Amino acid sequence: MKRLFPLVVAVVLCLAGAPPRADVCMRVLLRAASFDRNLSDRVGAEATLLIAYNSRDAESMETLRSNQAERARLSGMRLGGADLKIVEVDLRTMVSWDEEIESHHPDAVLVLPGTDSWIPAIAEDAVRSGYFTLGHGHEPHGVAISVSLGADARPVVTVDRGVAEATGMDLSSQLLRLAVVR
Amino acid sequence: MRVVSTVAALLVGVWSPLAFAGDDDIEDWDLEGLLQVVVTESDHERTTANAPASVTVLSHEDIALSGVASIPDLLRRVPGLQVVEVSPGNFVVAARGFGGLQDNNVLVLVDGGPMNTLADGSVRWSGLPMGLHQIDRIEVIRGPLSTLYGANASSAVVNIITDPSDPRPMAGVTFGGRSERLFERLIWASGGGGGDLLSWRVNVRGNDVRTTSNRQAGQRIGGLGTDVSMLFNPKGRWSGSARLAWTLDMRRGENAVVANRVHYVEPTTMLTAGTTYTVGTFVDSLSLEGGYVARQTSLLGEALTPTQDETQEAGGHATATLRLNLPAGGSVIAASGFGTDRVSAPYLPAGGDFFAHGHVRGTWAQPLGERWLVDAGYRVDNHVLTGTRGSWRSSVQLQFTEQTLFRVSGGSAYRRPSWIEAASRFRDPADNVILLEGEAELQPQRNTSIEAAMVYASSYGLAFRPTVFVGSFDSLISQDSSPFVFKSFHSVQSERWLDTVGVEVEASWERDTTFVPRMAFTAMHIADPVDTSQTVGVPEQNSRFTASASVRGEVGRVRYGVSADWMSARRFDTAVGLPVQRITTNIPAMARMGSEVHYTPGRDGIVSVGALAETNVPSTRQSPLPGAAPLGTRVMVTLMVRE
Repeated sequence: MKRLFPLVVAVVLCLAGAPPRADVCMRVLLRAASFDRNLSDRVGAEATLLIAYNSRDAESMETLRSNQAERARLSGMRLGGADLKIVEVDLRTMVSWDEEIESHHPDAVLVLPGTDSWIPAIAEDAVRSGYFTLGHGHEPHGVAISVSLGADARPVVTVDRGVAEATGMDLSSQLLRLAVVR
Repeated sequence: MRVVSTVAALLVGVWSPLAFAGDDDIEDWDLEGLLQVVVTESDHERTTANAPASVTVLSHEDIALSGVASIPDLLRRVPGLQVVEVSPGNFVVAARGFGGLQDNNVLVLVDGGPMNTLADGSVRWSGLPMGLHQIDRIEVIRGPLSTLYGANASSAVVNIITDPSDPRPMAGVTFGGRSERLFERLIWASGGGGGDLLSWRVNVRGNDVRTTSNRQAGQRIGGLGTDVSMLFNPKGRWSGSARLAWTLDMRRGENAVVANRVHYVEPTTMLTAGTTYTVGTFVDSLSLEGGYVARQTSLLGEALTPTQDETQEAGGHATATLRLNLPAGGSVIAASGFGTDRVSAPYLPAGGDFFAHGHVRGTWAQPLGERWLVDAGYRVDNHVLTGTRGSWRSSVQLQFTEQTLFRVSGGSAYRRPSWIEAASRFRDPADNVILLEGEAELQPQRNTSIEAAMVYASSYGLAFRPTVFVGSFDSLISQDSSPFVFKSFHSVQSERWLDTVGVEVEASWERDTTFVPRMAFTAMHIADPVDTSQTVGVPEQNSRFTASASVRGEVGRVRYGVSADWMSARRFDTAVGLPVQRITTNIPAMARMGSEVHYTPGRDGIVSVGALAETNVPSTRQSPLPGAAPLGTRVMVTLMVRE
């Protein structure tokens, strides 16, 4: 037993150093978005979620990597009565945002950390093109719903009511009661 | 040899049938659960970390992968709760040593509706209107909570939250055996339909527990339940919901605990409805809520005890709640309500008892600066049995660091005597002989307790919550009754300021969903009352240690769970039936181990197999009841499929 103790400690330390619960944030974001009363009218046969990341940003890539298993699990589930389809776009290497939107026709865009400089343009395009915006891992201004982890690892939902309404969302009071509303 | 058999039994494991609900449609996910918000504990939305009381939340994953076959078995892993199976399928659940007559120590809610009977306050766990596989989560709040839930939430509240909109069909079978030649079967199936606005659900279940040597000893329990829910959440400021649940329980008792060769038919109807109007910034919202519960127990056969004869009870209530948002993040909830109860039974005066009751309550929560948070609440109840009485609760929290919180909470609440405990006149329905007569002068059982807790929650999902509590009990006093049935119904009031002291520790680590361990430990000492045989509703045991550990997770399409719990009590007394029989059992140790595996072969289907084993080390048999606690070795196997 004494011989096993260092091994157990090492395993615990390795696990403790792993990134925090990105999978929970994904679930919370999608569940929060499902409180949009216009969601079923907005999506078609598929509900397309476009994840925008920055391949030059370490935090963005770490979040993307830690979400990998969760994304695979979520693909094919139903959101707003339609099958969920998830696509990823690297903002650093894309030809243009308009082409990506034209190609994927997203119903929602999820911006990962490290994409702050693109968010104003995405927010402006969201109003024009008719998709709503989600933020992951921090509290970026300009997205309708964002989720961050508190110091106690509990997810915190933040709703920017102005952005949400501008992108055509009608969020239920059930969500607003549980969220920080700006 | 006994140790060997014990270990062997533990290693065998059991299989229990539970579904991992609702994952295909994201709208089915429980956001409050994901955000770890506790709905039972407070008017003011809180998490398990900053709730002003000790809260344990068993999530859907915890339940589905628990490896147990009943809700009381699941509650064994909640620190501070004491669960004893007095006979197969009949449980007594108590919290922090606060005891009472039969199983009326803890307020049990299903989606906010009380499950305790009006007549004796007990909970028929096997007759709850849902199975484990239909539960979203269970919230257990320990300590006096009467400021929110009224007189009977004096020691703990168990709120079972279901998902009425989950219509997927599922079915399962559990079979197994226990020592003392007991054999048990459990078969269940459920299904439903509907959409977001209106949904319905049907459950069918059958439970059969009997001895293999004597087919006349045992009991059969069958149940049928329907549940129709309507959610009303239109665009705008109004929202609301309505729910109608109807259950039919049928029991064939061939057990001395219940009766001898009798059949019971017990239909229960529950109707709840509520609506909320969201106003604005300062006046947040106004809510109106009402409910009605009717239950009838009909006896077809011969009963041994008059209390199990035909009983009718019905109660309705209405409550108005006003929510105000204060500056600096504070909030105030003010509520007032009234209701009526009617209980009719052969052992009560002709025509039954009909009583009106009302309450007024207020709670206040206010952050003070960045680090401090203060909660306070007071409630006044008026009831003809107990007159006008108050309950209070308060809490102070200090956010010491980002990850560490300290809390000191205190409260005082009382348990209203049940009709059986308060009845001033009993008659034997068989020969109409008066068994008890006189005007009882009642002083309800009161629980006053203080607890100090620390909550440590790291950014990597590690949570550690130790709690120290002390409590003082006032026993139920009923004087001036003719001592025929209750030869010593009068009680003594504790003169000590400290009746119980204990430590609870909870730890969990939820870094991701692949490996989630959690453990709980309780050590408690209860001062021995003057004479337990002379009292009703006093602390019933004098020491107890419980420990549980579990691991659950998911790897690909496979979800797994392994759990074990251990309990040791120096002595346990329980009261059963009328006239009250006190059963004293010594349980040096009791150990259980369960495991559960779910496999999802396709997008929608789930196949589950589970195993559960339990044993006493060593088993003692002082109980006169067949199959009564303590149980010997038990092994069960379960198979479950879901569409």
